[in-house]
Amino acid sequence: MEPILHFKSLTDLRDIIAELEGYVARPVARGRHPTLYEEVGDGRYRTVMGIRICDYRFSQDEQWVLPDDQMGLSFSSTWKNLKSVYKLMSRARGARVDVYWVLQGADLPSDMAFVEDRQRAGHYFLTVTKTMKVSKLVENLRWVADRMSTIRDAGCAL
Amino acid sequence: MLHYAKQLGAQDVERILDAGVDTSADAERLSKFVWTMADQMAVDSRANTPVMGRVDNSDMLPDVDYEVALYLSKRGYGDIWDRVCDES
Repeated sequence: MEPILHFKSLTDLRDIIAELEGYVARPVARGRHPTLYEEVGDGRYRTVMGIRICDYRFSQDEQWVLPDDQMGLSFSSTWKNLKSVYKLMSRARGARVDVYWVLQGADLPSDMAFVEDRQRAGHYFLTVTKTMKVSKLVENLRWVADRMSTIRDAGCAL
Repeated sequence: MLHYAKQLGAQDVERILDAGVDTSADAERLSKFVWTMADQMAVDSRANTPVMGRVDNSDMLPDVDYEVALYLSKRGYGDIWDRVCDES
């Protein structure tokens, strides 16, 4: 298992990220799951079993998730892309934000893949490549989360 | 963003959200407002004030970052967003 890395400043975080070649990462508020969301009942960010309807292409009955190579959970592959997201979340969360990362080439469930965003450099989607039940996607996202490493805010003000 | 623009009385931001970004001044204002919005989220969260049904809306900020950055980049103002982020 990878050790949990700690950072005390934004410069520390930048330097750690620079050393992680071929990584994809996402900032996560402390205490939240790295790949699943708290349930939201309505609105644009409504969830189905912890998956936001805006992140994946759902069937009309919301029982299935359909393949789309430009939809999926968001990840950053560059410091430039990660920095503004991290800083924004830290402002709103009082700096209690950690960074979860995984190698792009890491083993993924066979029906999922990291795909680069065609519109924004340094941004990746964790996509589904085959139609699957929502429950299977939840299982897959938990599987990925179990293999992610953490860069933890050491608690100092940024 | 519209909710926070209304909450904070930012009528100029409401106009930008409605009409779009046409000038570098619009891009600067919109970029800075995203950070003001994050600060207001922190205030609301500390006060335990639900906004749009939730006390903590910070997990929508990656979406805001993505959409604003992409939009401003397509309008030719991506450098303004990058600078405001660096300075914020």
